[in-house]
Amino acid sequence: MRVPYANFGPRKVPEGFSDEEVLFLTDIFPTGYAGIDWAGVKGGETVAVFGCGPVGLMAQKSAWLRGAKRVIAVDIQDYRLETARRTANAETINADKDDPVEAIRALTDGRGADVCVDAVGMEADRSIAHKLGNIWRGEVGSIKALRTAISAVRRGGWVTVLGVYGVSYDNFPVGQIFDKGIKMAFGQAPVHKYIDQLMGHLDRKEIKLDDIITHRLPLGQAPEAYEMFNEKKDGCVKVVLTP
Amino acid sequence: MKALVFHHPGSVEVNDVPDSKIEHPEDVILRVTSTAICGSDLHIYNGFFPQLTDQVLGHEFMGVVEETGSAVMELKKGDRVVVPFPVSCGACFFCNHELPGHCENSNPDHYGPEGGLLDQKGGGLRLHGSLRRLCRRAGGIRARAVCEFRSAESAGGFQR
Repeated sequence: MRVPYANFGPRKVPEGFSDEEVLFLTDIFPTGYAGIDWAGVKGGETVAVFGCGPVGLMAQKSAWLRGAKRVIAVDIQDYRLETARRTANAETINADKDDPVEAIRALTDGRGADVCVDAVGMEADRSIAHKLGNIWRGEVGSIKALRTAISAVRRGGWVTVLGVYGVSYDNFPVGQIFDKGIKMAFGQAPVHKYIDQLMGHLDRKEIKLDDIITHRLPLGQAPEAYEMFNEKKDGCVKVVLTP
Repeated sequence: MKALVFHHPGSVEVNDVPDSKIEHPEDVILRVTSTAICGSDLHIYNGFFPQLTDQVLGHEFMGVVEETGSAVMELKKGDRVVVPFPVSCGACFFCNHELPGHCENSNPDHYGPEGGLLDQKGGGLRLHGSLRRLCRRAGGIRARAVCEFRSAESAGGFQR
């Protein structure tokens, strides 16, 4: 494929790494790391990550890398929570079974987490009534995950948003954000800013990324892989395709 | 070459597409050795970000340099590289402020200070640029450095 601006983007891979060990430097590792870096995690914080997909898992791993005291992972899929325990050593909350806000407060002396990372975005699972409300307000998807993060963060804490949001959303809880003095950061990760230092962490064996891969398939099976990943079938967390 | 092409929601196929070629002195041609499916590819796959045209999906990839443009300084044929997903020039205001995702030069068709998918202009909803490029920027193929097995769509996908 053609890669433009080749003097600025591509990074040479040091000797000794397999593709799978460094592939996630392209996006999900810097993206997960951004959610932690934007919040200024220096060490000792409790970090709650909403979503245990690939980006959420990378945020959880990155929280440890930056010295977090606790990492709490929230999802509604048991297999993904298991992945968070296994690959990111996170405490886990199933938001389908427990109220994640109450559960996080219970783990943090009632205050809430120092940092909440929204690694879900607009396509959060929601009820029919909730969907009808979104349609009524002309919203594509919903800010359900973001709202939950805003409630679950402590006063004066940070909410960072890695999950994608596409349009305007009414009823954004700006009063709650003001009252709690929450700081927030959103957006796509500045991959170029982080990639070299993150390569350094890999080089020093301070973090492992490829343990989230659940499926390795040839390109010819990409259509099946898309369906599987989209439907969360067969325990799918991350698919790597090869020629 | 083969590439994974999005046709309509729920329908992607591996198709033959034109081989990539150097189009600018700073380009390299990469033989992709590994690529991953990203959650943001699914926003296109499942129809959340509607697309008006077929397109190659993907943006997490790495591979081996096969050919280099005349202005490429560091890389040479045979180098193994991993590629950041944002397509960024490295020279503009935002690239110089560690905000490569907001590069001013790589995506001129739908770029501006306002941002967002839709905005209110003159009392009505207005699309920023073409919906297709918009969706790319905002959702799926966040960079135009689409991930494929040696390109496809490169002409349409890469703005210079």
